[in-house]
Amino acid sequence: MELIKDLWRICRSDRSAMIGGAVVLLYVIIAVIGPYVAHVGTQQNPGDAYLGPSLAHPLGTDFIGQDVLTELIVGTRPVIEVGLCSALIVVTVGVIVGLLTGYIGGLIDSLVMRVTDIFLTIPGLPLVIVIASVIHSSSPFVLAVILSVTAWAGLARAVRSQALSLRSADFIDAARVQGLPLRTMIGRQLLPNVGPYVAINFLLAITGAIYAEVGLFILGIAPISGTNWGIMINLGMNQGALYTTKSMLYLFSPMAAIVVLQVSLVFFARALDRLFNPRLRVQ
Amino acid sequence: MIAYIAKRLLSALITIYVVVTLSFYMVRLMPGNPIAFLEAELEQQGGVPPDQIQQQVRAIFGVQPHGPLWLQYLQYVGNIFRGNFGNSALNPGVSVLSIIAAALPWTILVVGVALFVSFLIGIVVGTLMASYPDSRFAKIATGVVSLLSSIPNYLVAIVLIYVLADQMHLFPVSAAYSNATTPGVNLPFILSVLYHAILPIAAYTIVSFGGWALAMKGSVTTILGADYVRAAESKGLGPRRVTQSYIGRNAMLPMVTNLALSLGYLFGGSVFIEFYFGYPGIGYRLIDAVDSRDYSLMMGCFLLITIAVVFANLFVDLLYPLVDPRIVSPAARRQRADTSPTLEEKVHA
Amino acid sequence: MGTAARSGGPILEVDDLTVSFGTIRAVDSVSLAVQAGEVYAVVGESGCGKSTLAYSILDIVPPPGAVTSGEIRYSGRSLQGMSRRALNHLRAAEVAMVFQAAMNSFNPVLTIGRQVEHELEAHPGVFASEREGREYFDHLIGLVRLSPELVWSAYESRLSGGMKQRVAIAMALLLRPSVLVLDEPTTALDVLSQRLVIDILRDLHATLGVTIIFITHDLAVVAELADRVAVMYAGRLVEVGELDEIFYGTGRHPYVAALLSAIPSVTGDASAIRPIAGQVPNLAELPPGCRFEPRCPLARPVCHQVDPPLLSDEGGHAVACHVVNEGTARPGVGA
Repeated sequence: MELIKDLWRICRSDRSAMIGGAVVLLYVIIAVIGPYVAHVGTQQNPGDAYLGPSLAHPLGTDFIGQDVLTELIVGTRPVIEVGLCSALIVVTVGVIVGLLTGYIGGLIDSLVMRVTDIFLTIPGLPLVIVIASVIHSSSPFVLAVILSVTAWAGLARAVRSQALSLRSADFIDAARVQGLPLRTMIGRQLLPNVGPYVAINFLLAITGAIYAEVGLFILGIAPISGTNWGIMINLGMNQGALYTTKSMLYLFSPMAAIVVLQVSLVFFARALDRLFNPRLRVQ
Repeated sequence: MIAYIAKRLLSALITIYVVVTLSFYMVRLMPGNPIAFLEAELEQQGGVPPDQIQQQVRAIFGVQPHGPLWLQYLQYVGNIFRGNFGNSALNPGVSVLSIIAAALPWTILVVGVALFVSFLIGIVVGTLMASYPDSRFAKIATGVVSLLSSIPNYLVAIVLIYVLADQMHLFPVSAAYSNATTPGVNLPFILSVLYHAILPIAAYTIVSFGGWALAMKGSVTTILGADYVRAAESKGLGPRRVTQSYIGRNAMLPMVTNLALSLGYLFGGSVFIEFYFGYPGIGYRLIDAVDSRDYSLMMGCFLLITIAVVFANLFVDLLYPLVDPRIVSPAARRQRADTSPTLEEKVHA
Repeated sequence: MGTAARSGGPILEVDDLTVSFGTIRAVDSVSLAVQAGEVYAVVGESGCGKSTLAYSILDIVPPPGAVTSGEIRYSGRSLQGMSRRALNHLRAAEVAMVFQAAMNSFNPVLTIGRQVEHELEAHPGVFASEREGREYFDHLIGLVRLSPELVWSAYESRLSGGMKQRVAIAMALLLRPSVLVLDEPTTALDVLSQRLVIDILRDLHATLGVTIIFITHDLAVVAELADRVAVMYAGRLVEVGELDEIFYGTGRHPYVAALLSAIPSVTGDASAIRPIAGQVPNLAELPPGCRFEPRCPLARPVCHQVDPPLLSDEGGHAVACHVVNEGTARPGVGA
């Protein structure tokens, strides 16, 4: 409840936060209700290809005559599903690894940190591409897992340093003296303190996942099933959309959708950062 | 100091080793084991005796296909360290190494220049944003920069291609240099190379300079409030001196650590950028290999990208003590600088 | 020694100075005078305004603080009217300051020597050559009992807190200022380093004859070093006088008396500790009369209504208390 009140407070004072948050919310709503209100038809009318914007087709049509706006709406859910799922995995793994190693310390800490460092150094995108090309699965969950394979490392490191600094904090000592079990220490004492940081990184993880997954779809590496923004761009480019001006709307609509979502997420995350980091507000 | 270098070097080597091992297992764990797949393909083609099939497979993948696993592993690792990444499955007889060696310089050219340019622009913009925090410029710049760095780089690439290359024909659509020129150290070639490199570099830079700007802004702002800056001013040091040696040098330190991170990012992004621009760098080759199911080439590209990033990180790590003297252990020489008698000496005097 | 040698008058005069942060007066109508060559201590608890007073002497009060009334005169020249250049020269070359937590006043990426060179560059008139400057610095480093070669090439991360404090003192004396201001010189140090710094300051004062003004809340340090003491409370001066008068004399301000009796004696037993009841007033909500009145054991009705002026006797011992000054027709304010 406190969190909601706080959120409302920032949104009211910070314009960009409000807009960002509203846009993200809009996308989420579309993602949820999209497939129920819009259907991509199965008939193909090549004759209607690349029509300009009209009342029937506010964003025109694609290369086989289907309505672009519909495709956009329907295509929202898969993208957000995978993005959200991947971000959840990243945050869960990152936080658990970070908190545990930061708090326990010792040999386990050094060992796990070595592994984390390796994952941190390996360039994520090429690895994701290699794995995705090999594992042909259209399950969004599998895709989400693949996308998370290196992204958790950065968060784990950051959470660990927070946990380390908290470990020597007085209230932790007090809790320890009371004999609280590890579970409580982490859940009740440490977690709320790294909470805000994690929330912000959660949003940023979503942007990272969307960046990677759409990229994969455009390249045609992730298998094509159904409609989503990346696939729209992929199909468009394969059909030579780059070479005609008529296809502009078809090509740019999903791009705009992606950019608007990414920017909104980033602005909202930044507003959260300003909320939790009062130092920044003074600037 | 030696310990620091050794530790970093060891870390880099271990990372590479782990990645090599990872790639070994990936090939084998893939659904539709590519080695078996290739064997089957060759058999199907017919007309090739079994031991020649084995030979070809072996040349392509670099390992004895049916030997015990640990033997294959050792062969694989040994091959890698000797630079043998196998042969391209699609172009038998052409070694992966030769393909990669031809592709890598292009990637380094574009990524290197892009890093340099975006670093420069970012630092300047960031410093200005921090020095005049309430100005109109700062507010607009913050917005623009946040916007630009949230856009996926491949989208920027597509827009650039679409607008500048396809529609306005201002820039070439693909390739690293024009076929009309002959490779070599001659002016037409060099110009052609630069001409073809501009768009890809622009694509990287547009998206990355924002990150640098924001990082620099944060860094400068923190340093501006530091005690030693105020102390320097209170001693009457001139503004130029203070900006250069007290603010500037300290603000740059975190930027150096970011260099390594940024390089990893840029190399990763090269898979997208090079593909869209038809630019024959290592990212392009990777995607190409994926598309044509050329697994040995794909692995080779991936390995090389990773190795390049690891070494770049190592390089920055080794560079860092030169700019930040705090890294080297401070405790050892402390005692000798103090000439006043220690407690023991006083007590026993 | 500094260019402004003894001219007879006090080397530093603070005349009815008020420094405000918005509506809050961190320093409220403070007047005092420091004679050349003496060791002058400004004492008070945290937040009483003593650090702000020190900053204003060099005109480096951090914004949003600003001097809103009064004047500071250095050898007769008013700080408030000085040009930018003159002010620049004043700082470091005539009045040098050693900040609290001097350990943070060093640039972490430059050697100490490099930073000394910067200072010499910025004030070219003081030494005939850079070599001379370096030699004098080495001499000063020796006076603060450190090794010149190792300090010159060291980075601040290699020096301990106590060592950095001493280097900071040496650096402050580099341009041969007439006045050295130290803000809490011993507070951040361990006991052994404190002893060292006190001894060093005493030696420096004897050797160089520099006027020393130091700010502290540690009465023990005051007892060791000071010639004269000024006590501040909630932005006001409540007592000024010679060391002996304050510590051992009679006619003390109740606050000062309470402070002194709150110090546990090395020989006494624990029951003798008497803390001062109550709290320092909130500067935004000051009581109408004497600021110490809510906590004062001698308080009378007049104390609640009228703020006591700082009145001085012939010897220069001044107290701001109705009760202490009662009956005495002391001439106006002064130090």
